This record gives sequence, structure tokens and C-alpha cells, in this order.
Amino acid sequence: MAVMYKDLDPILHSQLRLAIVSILVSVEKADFAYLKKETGATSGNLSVQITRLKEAGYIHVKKKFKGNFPQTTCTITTLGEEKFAAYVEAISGYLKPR
Amino acid sequence: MEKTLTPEESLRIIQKSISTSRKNIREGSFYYLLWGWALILAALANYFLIRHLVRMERYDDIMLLSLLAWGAFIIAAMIIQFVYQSRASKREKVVTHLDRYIQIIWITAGLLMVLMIFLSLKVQAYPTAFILGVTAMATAVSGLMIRFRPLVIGAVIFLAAAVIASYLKGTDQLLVFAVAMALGYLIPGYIIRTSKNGGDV
Repeated sequence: MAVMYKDLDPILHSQLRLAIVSILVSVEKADFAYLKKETGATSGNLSVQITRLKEAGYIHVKKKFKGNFPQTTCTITTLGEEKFAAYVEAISGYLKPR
Repeated sequence: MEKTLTPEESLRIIQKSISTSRKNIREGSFYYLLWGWALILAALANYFLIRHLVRMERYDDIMLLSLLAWGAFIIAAMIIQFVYQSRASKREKVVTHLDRYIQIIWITAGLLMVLMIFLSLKVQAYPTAFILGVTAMATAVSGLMIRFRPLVIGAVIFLAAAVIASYLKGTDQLLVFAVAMALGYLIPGYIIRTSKNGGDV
């Protein structure tokens, strides 16, 4: 099975990372708590996947304190938008009846 | 290691994620109710203030005290809005593209209103009709963007009120302004607040 989809971007071809990027393409920005609520992921897993997306340059992460509360805000980068569009294009190729 | 996704599963994730990132318009009701009430009270306070000053024959004080009356209510509303927003930011937060556009529209409208007040004082006219016109524009665009009909109807009321106000004398314009705010902001605000799910955007 894995071989069949080898041309799909491995960064996006993961359940949680794809969900994070899908949310971020449709909003201006979202914080960690919002992403956690919408994806239903654990804080640990979400944190790991956000870091991977950030290292790949797909998203931009800003950390700051609001009073005593830490706030991590994520936005999608132009590269992230392009990769997401390419990913959607690639999977739609698989979904077309052959 | 995560299991390999099929294209169908990928598509489902994308569809689900995009549809859940829509925002509830309920939050917006706070702003319509806050500004609706603040502006109604400011207009009525100004109306009774002018009547009082005319009775006392203190004509020279009318302009300054009217500006102070408006300023007091507007600053009070801005403080309440600031406190509300700083509390809201402690909850989970998402800013949609629509939020950003609507914010820009209202900042522009706010600056235009200040300009209108300045220009109308300069030509010694009442700013009411101009302010209502700018409010109509910003309300119409916001209402169309969030697809909320009561707000669009509110915008039409503001536009009609602007025309009516331009034919009335100064103090009566304030009453038209107060009624327009009640119909254009308070009614949509309370409709959103009392509706069960608030409606998604």
C-alpha cells in the first residue's frame, strides 16, 4: 500500500499533520488550544507534529505570553499553501475513476 | 508509526478540518449590543443635554459639552471592549479570514467617522447623517460576509435614517440616530444571542 502512494508528500501524508495544515489553510491564524480541540490530538503528539511542520517550513509558529498564559499561534506559510495545493492535486489524481 | 492513509481518508480529513474551522457568529453579538447601547445612550444623553443647555441659554457650551458626552460613552465602550477582548484571548483562539476582513472594514469605518465629524464641524453641519452613511456601508459588508440577513436589513435602516436625518434639525437627528441604532444593531444582536445555536459562518 505504502508504495502505491509514494509520490504523496510524506510531510502532509499523515493524519494529524494533514488535519493541522487543512485547518490552517482555511483560517488566518489558530492557537495551540484551538488546534488541539479541533483535531482531538494529545498535547504531546500535536506539539511534535507542529514542530515537524515548522521545521519543514510549512507553518510559522509564534510563541508568546498573554498574562500568565503561554500562547502558541500557528499560521500557514506560502510554501505550506503550495505544498497543500500540490497534495490535494495528487490525491485527486488517485480518486479519479480509472 | 502512523498507518498509511488512503487518498479517500486524506480527503475526509481535509473536508472535516476545513468545515470545523468555521466560526460561530454568536461572538459578534457582543460588539453589536455593546456599540448599539453605547451609541443610543450617547445620542439620548446629547439630546437631553442640548435641550437643557438651550433652556439655560448656554448656547456657547453646546458644542464642547456635546463632544464630551459622545466621548465619554465611546471611551467607556472602548474600555469594555478592551477588557472583553483580553479575557477572550485566554480561551482557545482562531482568527478566520472573515474576522480579519471585518476588522479592517470597521477600523476603516471608525477612521472615516472621525474624519466625518471633523469635516462636518468645520463646515458647521451636524455629522449624524454622514456617520449613519458610513455605518450603513460597514454594516452591509459585515452582514453580507457573515450571511446574516438582520444585519443587512440593519444597514438599509441606517441608510434610510441617514436620508431622514439630513432633512431634520440637529436635536431631532439624534433621536433618529438612536432609533436607527436600536433597529440596526440591537435587534440583530439580540437575535443572535437568543438563537439556540447562534448559526455557523
